[in-house]
Amino acid sequence: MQVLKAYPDVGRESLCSQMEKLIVGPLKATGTQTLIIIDALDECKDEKPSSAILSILSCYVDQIPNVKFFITGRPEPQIRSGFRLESLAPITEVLKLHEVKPKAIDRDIELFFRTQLASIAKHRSDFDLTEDWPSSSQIEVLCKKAAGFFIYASTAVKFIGSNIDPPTERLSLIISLPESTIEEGRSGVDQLYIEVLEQAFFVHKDNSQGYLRFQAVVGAILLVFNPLSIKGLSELLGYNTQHLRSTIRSLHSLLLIPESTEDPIHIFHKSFPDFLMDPDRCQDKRFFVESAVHHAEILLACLRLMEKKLKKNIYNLDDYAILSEIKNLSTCKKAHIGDSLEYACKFWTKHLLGIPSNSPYAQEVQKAVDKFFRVHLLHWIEVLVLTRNLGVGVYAMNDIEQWYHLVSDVQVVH
Amino acid sequence: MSKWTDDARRFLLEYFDTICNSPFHIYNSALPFSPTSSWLHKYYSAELSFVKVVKGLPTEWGMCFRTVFLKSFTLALSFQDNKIAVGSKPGDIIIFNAITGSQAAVLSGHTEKVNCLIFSSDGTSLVSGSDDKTVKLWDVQTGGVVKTFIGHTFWIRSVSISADCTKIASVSDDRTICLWDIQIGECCHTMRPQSAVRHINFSPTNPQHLIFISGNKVWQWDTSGHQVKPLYNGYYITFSSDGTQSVSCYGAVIMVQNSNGEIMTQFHVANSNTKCCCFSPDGRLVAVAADNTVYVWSITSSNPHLIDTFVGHAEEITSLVFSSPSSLISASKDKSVKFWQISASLANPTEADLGSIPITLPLISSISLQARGGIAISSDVDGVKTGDISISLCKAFSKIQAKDHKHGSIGMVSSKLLFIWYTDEKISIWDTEKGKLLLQADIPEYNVLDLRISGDGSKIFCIKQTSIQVWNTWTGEAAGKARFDGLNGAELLAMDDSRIWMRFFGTQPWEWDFGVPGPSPTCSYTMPPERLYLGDTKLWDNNLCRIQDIATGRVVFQLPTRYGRPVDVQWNGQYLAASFKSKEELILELHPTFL
Repeated sequence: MQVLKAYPDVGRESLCSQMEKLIVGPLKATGTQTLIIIDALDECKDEKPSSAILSILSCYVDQIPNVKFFITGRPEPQIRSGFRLESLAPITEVLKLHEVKPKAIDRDIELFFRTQLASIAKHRSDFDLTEDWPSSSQIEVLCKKAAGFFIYASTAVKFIGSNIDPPTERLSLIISLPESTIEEGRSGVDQLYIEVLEQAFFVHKDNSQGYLRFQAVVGAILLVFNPLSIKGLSELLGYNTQHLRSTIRSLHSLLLIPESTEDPIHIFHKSFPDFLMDPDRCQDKRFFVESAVHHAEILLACLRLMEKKLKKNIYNLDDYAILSEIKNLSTCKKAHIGDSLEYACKFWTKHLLGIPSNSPYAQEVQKAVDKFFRVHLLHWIEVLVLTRNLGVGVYAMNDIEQWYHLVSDVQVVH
Repeated sequence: MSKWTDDARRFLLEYFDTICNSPFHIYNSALPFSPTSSWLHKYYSAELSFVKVVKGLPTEWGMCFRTVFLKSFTLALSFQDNKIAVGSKPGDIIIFNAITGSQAAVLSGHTEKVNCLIFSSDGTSLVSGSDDKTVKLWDVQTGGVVKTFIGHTFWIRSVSISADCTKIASVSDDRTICLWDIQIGECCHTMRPQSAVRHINFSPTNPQHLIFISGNKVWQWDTSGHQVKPLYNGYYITFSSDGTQSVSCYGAVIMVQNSNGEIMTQFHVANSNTKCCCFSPDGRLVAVAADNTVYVWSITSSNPHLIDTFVGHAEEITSLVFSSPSSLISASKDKSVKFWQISASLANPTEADLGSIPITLPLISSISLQARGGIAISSDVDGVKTGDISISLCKAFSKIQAKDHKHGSIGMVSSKLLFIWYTDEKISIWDTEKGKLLLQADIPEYNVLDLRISGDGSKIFCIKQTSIQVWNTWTGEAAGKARFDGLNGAELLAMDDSRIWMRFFGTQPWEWDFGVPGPSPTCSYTMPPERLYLGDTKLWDNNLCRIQDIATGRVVFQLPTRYGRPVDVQWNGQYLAASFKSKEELILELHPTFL
């Protein structure tokens, strides 16, 4: 906190000085003995030859001998080369998970199932404790289905523990799922995902509006470039928060849905969006998320929201106020812009690029974009200034140009 | 749509730093200066708030689309992967985002000024040389120093990195050239040329060869056999990105050669003070910097021709790089980095382009205007022109013939009255409506440096070498006198009805309130910079080219940076007129509610 107060802009500085000020400095000053865990390093967007995080660690690691790092990630080339860096290689111990004996993993997963299901049994009032649940044979089937994938185990447990149906019923449901023949592990997760979605979808079975909402909401959660809260999503998509929450309530085994409507919704595991957006893996048309359609829908929602909310002097500032003078900038942002409008202003052109040039939406999109430029361009720039994202504006123009270039090529071909 | 994205991008970039400070500048400062052909001007003129440009608004966006100001001037500039690296005085290297021009990172490590820097061809590393006698290799991604090369005993002048990123070459004012092995971190070859070395490059075709400039000659050093031989005359040399061509400048002569040393193209630029040159990424263009100007030549046809001339830097250009096939970045001693747009017509040059010569603008000695009635005056070699500045009549100026006399300064007294001072010791006052001469008088003084009239027309100021004298315009009676013995080079900055601001060589602006009774003026050397009061609440700050709210100090209007500091500014209660070194002139109308 002291560092942040002393250097409020540290987040914009180079990685090196961030590392020095935020991590190495305080650790050196206090001499803390600790373990720092960095999970899923491969999910850091990073195209350079060796991972930035590892390169930077290599520069500082000898200054903080009391600190150990536990780093996990798929063995992507930049991560492997990162660990080969001069100062890291001798002090790194590599544990190759893909070489760990399957039995050891199965044992862990079995233990996980046992303890988690036992705790469900203990905490649920609708449960007869005398019953031997889960049975050893049930656990065995579960472990077989998980086939070494922890994401299967954790999703299954969340699904079983849902308070919509009795856990016994849900467990039987999973057990009874047919076994898949191809690529046991992955399709096992796929089967489970389908089952979870079936259950969630069951609620909207006879309600076509609910079904559309379900699709729109799940599509948006999967495709947004920055996680949005329930409030943000409902403003963007034009639903009320109650409806939105009930729509995704039964997906809690796949999504982290916070209690507060203002905290962002996260996806537990990347395999869920991968599954829903891959037409080969998700063959059920009801659940398949076609990114081209949803990007168009989100883009139009962004443009509608901007159309509705953007205006001159959106913060109601005094004449000629200077940004550095405004003390309660973040309160103003919350009150007058909000997550949804900030998101729309920052990312709408990214959704534009997700729409193929031959999309049936192309014409409607062009019309809306044209109107945006004629009416709200300056107000949009104003929001970018107020949210300190002005650079985004320049990139956005490049995005739009790129998309229109593609569209005009298609029109020429026609 | 490309018109919209183009206009919006230019709007964002040109005013980026100004509107970053306050959203109001979108409407107050940026929008009024959107060129008449832009759609921002077409669709958003209703959003204009207080400032309206009634004269001088360009029809098209300028060639310079972004100006970034630095704390100190830079000698070195390098571009790779949309990043610009700039060396700076306290020893920092600043990395800018080349798309937005905003600062992305600061690499600190050098303890003295950074004189030279260059990105590796893959963009992951940066090599820099400094007055602290060291050469450093940086990891661009993390901003950390990978290695420091120590050995030179004096300032580093130039550095280069081999295409395979295994070697670094450096030259220092200790008169040695060092070739460093990056892996080992030590110097593997040194060489001491006879005269000082200014610039060094790895030969793109042979990594054993170093090409350097010493004593206005291009030399080649074969490090494997340790042979050094002079090639030809040159002040600067650089290579195309594919390594097949080199371009060198020597005086006004620019020479493009292939890898065998055969001359492909040779041409002359208009200025013989050439400093540096570079190829565009596609090798079709060569840009040359000489003094404050950049010349861009197309070299693809058999007949090389000038495409663009970029004028805008206030001082000598120190470094030049292309950031795309159609944009160029230059750094200058004026502490700025400018981004330039190369003409779109480049693809198919016409005959007219081939024969085009720079247009010389008429010399405007002064521009001023007064009058709520909307009369403007401007003067050039032909005489004095007056006209109605309401937009439709903007060009319909009536002329007051002043051809026979060389006039020194002119001033509008009221919507009707025009004041002209002729350097042959006469003044005249004209009725502009009738075109009639009202008063003509000899000046009762000799060696007059400058003569001006006060805003209300009642007083005339006469500035001489050691004194300033004030008269009543119509009676000719003296109204005040101040002496400034011991001060030289008086320059009149501004005046209002009761005060006058001046500056002398090496002094702060100097204020004299001649409304104060008493025999001697009050002089002050610590007066705030030159300024002009616009009504009761606002003032024009001529050094920073902006209008400030007096009570809050807030900047309410910022003049686009491309204009630079006005050489003359006048105000009449509604219109603010300014003229610039570049011969441009602007008239701004300020809305009454604003003041």
